[in-house]
Amino acid sequence: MKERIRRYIESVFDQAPKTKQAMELKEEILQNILDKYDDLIAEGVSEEVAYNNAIASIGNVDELFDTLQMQMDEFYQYPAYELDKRRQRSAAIIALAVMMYIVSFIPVILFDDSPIAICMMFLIIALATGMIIYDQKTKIRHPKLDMMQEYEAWQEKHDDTKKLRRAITSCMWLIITAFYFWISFTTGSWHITWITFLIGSAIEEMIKALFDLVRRRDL
Amino acid sequence: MSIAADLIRGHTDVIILAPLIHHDSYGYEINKAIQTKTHHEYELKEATLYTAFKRLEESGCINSYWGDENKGARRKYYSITHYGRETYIRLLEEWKNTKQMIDILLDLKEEQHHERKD
Repeated sequence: MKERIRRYIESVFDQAPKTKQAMELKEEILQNILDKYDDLIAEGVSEEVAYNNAIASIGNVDELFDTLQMQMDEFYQYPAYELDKRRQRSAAIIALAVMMYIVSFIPVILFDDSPIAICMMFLIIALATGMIIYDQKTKIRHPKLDMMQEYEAWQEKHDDTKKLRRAITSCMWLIITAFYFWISFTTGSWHITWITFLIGSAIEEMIKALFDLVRRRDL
Repeated sequence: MSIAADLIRGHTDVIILAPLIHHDSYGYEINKAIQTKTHHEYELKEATLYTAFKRLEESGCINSYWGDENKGARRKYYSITHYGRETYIRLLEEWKNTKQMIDILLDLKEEQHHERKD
């Protein structure tokens, strides 16, 4: 009977926008209905009557779903020109940052690995990274997209295999970074050792693919 | 007992705030307390309850957090904020005044008394 209640709530929430808020709300309401059902059974009511009573107490969810929908739609209240302006600014910042990444190697090439040149390279990289972070933080957030991401992140949190994957990749990055400094200081070949990070990215993608493969086999 | 459901519905917010004054609570507990207090004469529909929760949370009257029950059920708890307490006091005061006024308006005795005097 509890499975029937669960199925019923699922069907009610088919109409709801697919956001984290809606998922949480579903869990909340389901729990309440199950509590109510249990209480009715404990009072000695028959299963069928308890089911009907519990389901009837949900009421009309239209207004509730409208509120959820409204939270998603708020984004579109931003005037279009404002969004355009922001988008242009963001594009300019990103382009400049990427340019700085490329240019950051020039001092090293010009001054042949002197400590000052290396310091300048890191300074330029740090500036560029700072600009990208600033751009990300000041973006007008798209609630619809955001909520989907939020929902995915929330689902992810409940997924143990993803937790394991995150642990493995963060561990891998620490090792990669340590390896990068070790090999660079011992060989002094700073001009080529940065390739370690490319290899790191490749390994990360491979781990991701491996986990996806295992998950698909499980399904 | 016949009740005007519409009249009560207008006070859903303050009805929900009242039990939260004492301690944090979750949806079913609040609704059950309402049922017990009214001897099963009144209960909120889930949809009404949660629309009110959303509204109260958005206006900053309450906060919510997931409880960490060990066994099975995961419940979302609601706690009242300082602003929520102020709102409760204001709404309670409004209700007392309104109730008094409606009592006066609906009471016929005094007017009959006046008519006799004229």
